[in-house]
Amino acid sequence: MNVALLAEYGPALLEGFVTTLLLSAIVLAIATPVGALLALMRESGQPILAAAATVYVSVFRLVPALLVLFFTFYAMPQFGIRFSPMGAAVLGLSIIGSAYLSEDIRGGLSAIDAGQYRAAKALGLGWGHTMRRIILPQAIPIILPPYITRAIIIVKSTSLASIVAVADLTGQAVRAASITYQPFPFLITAGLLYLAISGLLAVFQAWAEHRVSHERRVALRTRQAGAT
Amino acid sequence: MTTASTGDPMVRAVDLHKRFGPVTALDGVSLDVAAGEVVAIIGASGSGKSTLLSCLNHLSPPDKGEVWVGGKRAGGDPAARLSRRAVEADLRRFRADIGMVFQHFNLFPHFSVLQNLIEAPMAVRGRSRAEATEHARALLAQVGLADKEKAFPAELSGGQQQRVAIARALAMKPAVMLFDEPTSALDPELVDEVLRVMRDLARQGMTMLVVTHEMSFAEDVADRLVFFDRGRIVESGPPREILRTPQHERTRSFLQRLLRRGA
Repeated sequence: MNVALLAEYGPALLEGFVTTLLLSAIVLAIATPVGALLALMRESGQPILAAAATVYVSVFRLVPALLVLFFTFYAMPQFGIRFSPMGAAVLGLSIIGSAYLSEDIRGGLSAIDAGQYRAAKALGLGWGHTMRRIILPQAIPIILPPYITRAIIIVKSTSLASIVAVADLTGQAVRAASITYQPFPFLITAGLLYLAISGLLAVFQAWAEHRVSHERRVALRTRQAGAT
Repeated sequence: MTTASTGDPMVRAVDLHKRFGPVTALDGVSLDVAAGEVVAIIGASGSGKSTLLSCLNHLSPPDKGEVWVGGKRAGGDPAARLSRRAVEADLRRFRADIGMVFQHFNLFPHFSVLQNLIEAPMAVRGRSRAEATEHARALLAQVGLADKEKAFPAELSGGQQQRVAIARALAMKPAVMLFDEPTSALDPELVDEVLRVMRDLARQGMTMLVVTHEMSFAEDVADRLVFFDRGRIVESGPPREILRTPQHERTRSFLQRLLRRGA
């Protein structure tokens, strides 16, 4: 491993690392509420809202992410809508990410027994209150594990942004490799840094899953003990 | 908006129709229930009994027909031409006045027993936490669970959960209570504790509609028995008369089947 080379391109890699972190955070911050909104639309029972969300989710789950990125970066300017590389990447990845996340969120919502909605409705509770106080607190522990899996996939997918000229971690590593003809140290370093982000999320996921399954076990045990 | 005068029925259902796809669940059902009256509704599964209850509080609104409770029409006065939003708001108020107890309890599992009882009174009725808690404790004492307010539903037996569910419905101070097979999901030895609570409630003058397979409860507690078949009321009258001398062939064969099962 060439330490001098790494020292020379270290700042650039670090910059790329920060860009990747920033890109991941922004995409998740946009895709999560949009995904939740799409999921709620599909569960709302309003035919038009549900159909619109279904079309959106189906299309963007079936289209390659890279194609969407090319579209936001190269095709949108034809319609006079011009984005910076970062802007195009954020838009493209958020569109794809929200479609996937909405499926994970919807899965959690539909795991909640219909009797919970009926009971809340029978008590005169409105839809917003029912969601906020009754449904979501039960759905979030179910949603969390697949959500984090998806977040890891989204973090990794930000490397696609390097293809539309974003100087993210992958972009910086590839650039350094092609200048120095030394791909090995740079790609390994980039890989380790991705591993650090994803690994941290995976650890958090394992912890969350453990907590949820632990709570379930306790609930089940007390239920069995309580039922005579 | 009219209010109930004495003599007006507490619950009035007029010509209710409800279809689920090709299945006709209610085929023109009309029913008046007087204040303080207890009506037991019996019939084979799929005969439309449970659908009647969920149409009464518009959990699933009827396709056709009207429901009045305490002199108020579900969905407001049609002459007022309310917006969809206004109708929804009216239905929420309407449902809040009708207590409902489900076969599978449907308690909120992430709330303690006490929180199950005070959530809706605070959110819908605007009661203070202190006020709602005080009322909830009185209700828990009434259903024999004064010591369980901190427990979570999963820590309770089925019979205890159903008693909490009854208390939760009562916490809204409803004008009417609807019971949808409240003991069908319970182990046999837990049925009586729930029926006892319902008996007390009837004695206190609560207006009740009870879908049930508990014939002895129907006979002892109900003022009137209604027999449902294929989405219609086939027979209705004093429980003893219907159970002893059913007039209709369908009622007879239903009761015979029930007896053979040893219910």
